[in-house]
Amino acid sequence: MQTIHSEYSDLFKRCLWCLFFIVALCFNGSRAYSAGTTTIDADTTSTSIWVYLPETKYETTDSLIRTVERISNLTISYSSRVLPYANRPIELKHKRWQILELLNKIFGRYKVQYHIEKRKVIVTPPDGDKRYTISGFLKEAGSKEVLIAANIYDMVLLRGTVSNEFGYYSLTLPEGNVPLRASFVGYAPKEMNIDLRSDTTLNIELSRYNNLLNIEVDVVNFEPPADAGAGVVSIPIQQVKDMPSLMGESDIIRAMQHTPGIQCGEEGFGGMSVRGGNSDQNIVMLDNVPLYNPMHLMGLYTAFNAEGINSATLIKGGFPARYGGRMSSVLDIKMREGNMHKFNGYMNIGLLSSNVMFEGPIIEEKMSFIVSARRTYADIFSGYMQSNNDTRYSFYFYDISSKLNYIISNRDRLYVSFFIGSDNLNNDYNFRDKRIKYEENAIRDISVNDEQQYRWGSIVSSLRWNRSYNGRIFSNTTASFSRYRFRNRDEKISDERGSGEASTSTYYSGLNDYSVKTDITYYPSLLDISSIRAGLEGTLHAFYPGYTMIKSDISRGDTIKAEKQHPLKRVEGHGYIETQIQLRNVGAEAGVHLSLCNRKDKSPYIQVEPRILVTYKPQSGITIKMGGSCMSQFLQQMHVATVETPADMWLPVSSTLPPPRVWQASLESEVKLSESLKLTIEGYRKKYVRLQTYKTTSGVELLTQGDWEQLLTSGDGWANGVEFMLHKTGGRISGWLGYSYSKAMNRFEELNKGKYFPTDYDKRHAITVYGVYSYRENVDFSALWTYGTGAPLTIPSGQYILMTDVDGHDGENTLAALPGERNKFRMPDSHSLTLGCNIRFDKPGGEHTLSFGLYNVYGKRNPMFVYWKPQDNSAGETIAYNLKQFSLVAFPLPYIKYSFKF
Amino acid sequence: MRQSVVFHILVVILLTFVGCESDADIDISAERKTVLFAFVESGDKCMIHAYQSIFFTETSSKIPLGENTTIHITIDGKTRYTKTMSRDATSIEFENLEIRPESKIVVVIDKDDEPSVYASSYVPVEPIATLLRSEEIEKGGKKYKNCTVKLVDGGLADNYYQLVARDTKTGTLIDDIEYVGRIFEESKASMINDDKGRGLFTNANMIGRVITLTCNVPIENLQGEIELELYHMTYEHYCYMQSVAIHKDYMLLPVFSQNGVYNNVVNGIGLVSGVGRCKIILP
Repeated sequence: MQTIHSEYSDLFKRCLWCLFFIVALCFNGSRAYSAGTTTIDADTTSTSIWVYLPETKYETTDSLIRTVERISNLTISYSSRVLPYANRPIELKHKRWQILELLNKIFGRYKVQYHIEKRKVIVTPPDGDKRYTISGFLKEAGSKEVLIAANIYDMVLLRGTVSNEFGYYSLTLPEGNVPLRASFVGYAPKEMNIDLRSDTTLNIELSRYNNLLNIEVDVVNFEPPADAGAGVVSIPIQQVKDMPSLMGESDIIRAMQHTPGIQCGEEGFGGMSVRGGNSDQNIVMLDNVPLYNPMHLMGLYTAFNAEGINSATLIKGGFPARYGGRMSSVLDIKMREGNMHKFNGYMNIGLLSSNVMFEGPIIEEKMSFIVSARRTYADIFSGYMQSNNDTRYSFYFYDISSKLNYIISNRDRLYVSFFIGSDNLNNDYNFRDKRIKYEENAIRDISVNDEQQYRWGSIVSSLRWNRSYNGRIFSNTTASFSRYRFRNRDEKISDERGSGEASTSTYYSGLNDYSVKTDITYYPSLLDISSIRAGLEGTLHAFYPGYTMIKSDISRGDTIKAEKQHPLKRVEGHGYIETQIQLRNVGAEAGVHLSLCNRKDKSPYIQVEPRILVTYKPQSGITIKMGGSCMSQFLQQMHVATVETPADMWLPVSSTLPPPRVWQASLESEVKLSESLKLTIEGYRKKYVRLQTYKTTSGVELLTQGDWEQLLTSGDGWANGVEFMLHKTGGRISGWLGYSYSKAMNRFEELNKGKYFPTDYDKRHAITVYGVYSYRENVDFSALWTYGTGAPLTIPSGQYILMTDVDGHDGENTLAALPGERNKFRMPDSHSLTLGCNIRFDKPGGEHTLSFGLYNVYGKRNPMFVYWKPQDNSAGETIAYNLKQFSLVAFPLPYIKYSFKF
Repeated sequence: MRQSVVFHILVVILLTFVGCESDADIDISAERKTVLFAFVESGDKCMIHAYQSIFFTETSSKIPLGENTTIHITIDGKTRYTKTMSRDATSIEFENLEIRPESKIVVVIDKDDEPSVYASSYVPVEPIATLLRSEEIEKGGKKYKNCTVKLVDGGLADNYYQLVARDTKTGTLIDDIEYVGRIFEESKASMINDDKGRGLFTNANMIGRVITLTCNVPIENLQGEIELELYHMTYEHYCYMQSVAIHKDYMLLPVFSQNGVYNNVVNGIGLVSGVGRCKIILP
């Protein structure tokens, strides 16, 4: 094992060297471009130096300065305060310049001072220069929906910022005439001149492009200092809606699982795995509130209606300090706020479900709402098909999300959000009256009602208050409630002429969260520090790790009432401080996150989690990001089967099970190959401590044993990998090519003889090719091909006879499965192709879209799970077992969906 | 019989989608493990069951461990007894032991140069139980012996118990006993099946108190007399019996296929546990 580890470490190192090699090539290329020869015609007096430049275009301002220094034999000294973005490209009108004129061109609008001594030019900011703050919201024109992560910047200084999760921005600039530009992907940029003489509030509205093919490229090559961090995945919601999918259901999490480093269970089942971590290591935040069950139908579909989402961002490395509570990723989903100006609606009809969405103003420009809902209708058809059966099954899921947005004043906003998602499975047995023959000539009518109900789902609600103080301080305070519940209700009622039996038992598990938190962001007037953000959060968790309530049991002549079940309570606290710093072509986000959780009879667990992300931009179009983070979590989800099920339990840390913790280091290189083509290469390594898993089984005993701590054991682990992503945006053909190599291993003293073994999500290779071809303005075709290494597999390798009688008699000839080593085997590799087409019709009354496609085009039988199947002889005796696999979609499955937007 | 929740969900998924079963192309390298079972009571005798596991492709039977297999029993870390198993044997009885209540026992299997297979446990004290009432009843057309037993819990610690009934003529345990009362319901092995708990219960919330137990023993197929047996179990024995009940329901359900029965044997599989037994023959 050590050898394998060593070999893999070498491979990892080689991959990292490849990463550096690619970057180094880019650097060499830039040097070759900026080198040149020229002549100089210079007056020896310092103020009348003339410079002849070899070129008029320079990739960076810094390279122009270096050229001027070389050919004029001058030394030019300046600080980042007078030239904050030296890596921006610059184009000159001519080649012959007087030195002061050239310096004014280089240092732009700044009222800089030049101190020229002999052959040295010192550029300093003017004494007593004044700065003022422009702040406000960036919104979509018409709907007034806020735009998250939109750019706003000074076109001359190339100094700017991005809007936060509430669309708010704050930008401090020197006084004077400020040429501002606001831009956002998919929206027409807007330019404006502001005479900045005092702190100013400026709300900016951008108009959406109607035709994506005609999007003009933002010619000013602005890269905001608060650039997206390392390991960030953000897919535009429209792209999610257009992506071909199983049964045509738009799915934000499924879309993200087609990017490198993010995986799911076999055949799409199960939760999301990010960089080898388990699904419970991801926190899904819906408007800043954790959602514990973001999936429907055991992980096949996301519980979010894409129509109600403003943005979705997944962070898998280089975590900002404001996030905490999970080890692998943060999926931050922001719901839309509703149109402030007019009523809109949307509906679609698919094979599996239908969606509706309504939004509009309650008080124009002051208060708006948005409501979206979805429901499946398989239960309606199955009910009709089973109308003559004694046993009926029915299943459906639904979700409803709503939000109320109230602008109290220019400084204050109030939001009320609510989400409910639920899956429902009902089984009815013998639901009809029956005539039973007990004895000869004794026939009795008996009414039997015997049914089981399974329900599971989440509820999230929140109340948020935003306030902007003097344009430089922004606060957000949230009070929230989040609940997940799995419930199984058994009801048996039989009635025989007034006497009979009735029993009802209910089993439930889940948790409730009550939370309050506040975040404050300060935008200082310093040029080098973009923002300082701090926050506090307190959460009361109430865990219900599997309780059974028997309400009545008449059959035995007694009535049993269940006692009130007391939840396990834990208080979890979080605090953080983080800052963003921008120094010329180097930026940094640094901070620390402090988290704590109480435990019974002992001092609380306290975790100090440092975070840092350093961004280096050696030249325009190339960005190198290095991130380091420490994350921990105080709760975990334990599975009861080999696939994720709704009965899986969230359990807290305890005195014997301390919180797991992970350190992650990542290195990312982002190369902009053209205006629409970007290559990202990222390597990472993670080191886990205090991971927990089952000692001997997969955990079905969790359903029965209250003493769950006895079932678990602690260990450690590591994961590392390399991810490649070639992403094309805009134009007739768009999409991406993604590849990831990853390896994730765990070690537990009580498993596999204490050796490292692959984790459940250790899928070594994953490839995704996704392309969209815009045939016409209103017609596009898309294709999605995925390939993945099979997941590790634990399967019994034999069997043995049990002994249950203390006197030594065989246990009713019961054979037990012989547990094999954990994850010793591996599923076969899987791959599939999905094709789709979207046709849009603009008709009076709204936009109509017809989507259709084919899932698993070439009918690949990908395994969902494998199992030993008994092979019986004619007498019904088992003579052997065969290893079988189950495939969910074994042949091409078409889908069609119609949607209407008005 | 009711099935598991996940099984039902899978049924729905199968209805919803177009599932397909086929042969799995996975190379499963089979292995054998040493199986060890021993239930040790205070006294001078102890039966050790030791054999090998079998492959899925074999018919169900015990495979002897073969030659050069020696069994050692150590009591309270002092006295060590050793015996060699015959080539075809799957069990061996030790005699002339001195096992007392609360003795610590270690059972070790050595064979050739393979790593030792071993497990340890202790012997719980015998429970004190008396018969309060016994009468024949008829329920749903079937005849039962309705019995009520009084147990005085030993107190001071968590205690684990099991109430079973044996046919004195055949020596086998009687199936389909109805256990009455909440104490059995709370220890029921599975919330989603019809298992009646196999008579398992604990002294939770009743430490040191008198516990009344009621059960209905079917008597229609009885050949001899009914002997009620009350076991004072170790925690490992209790977990094992619960996991057996779960395993019966889940073993061949696909998504639970990796679940095993509780095991406390190192380098092998099975259970070694002490047990304290009280017998009551019904009139």
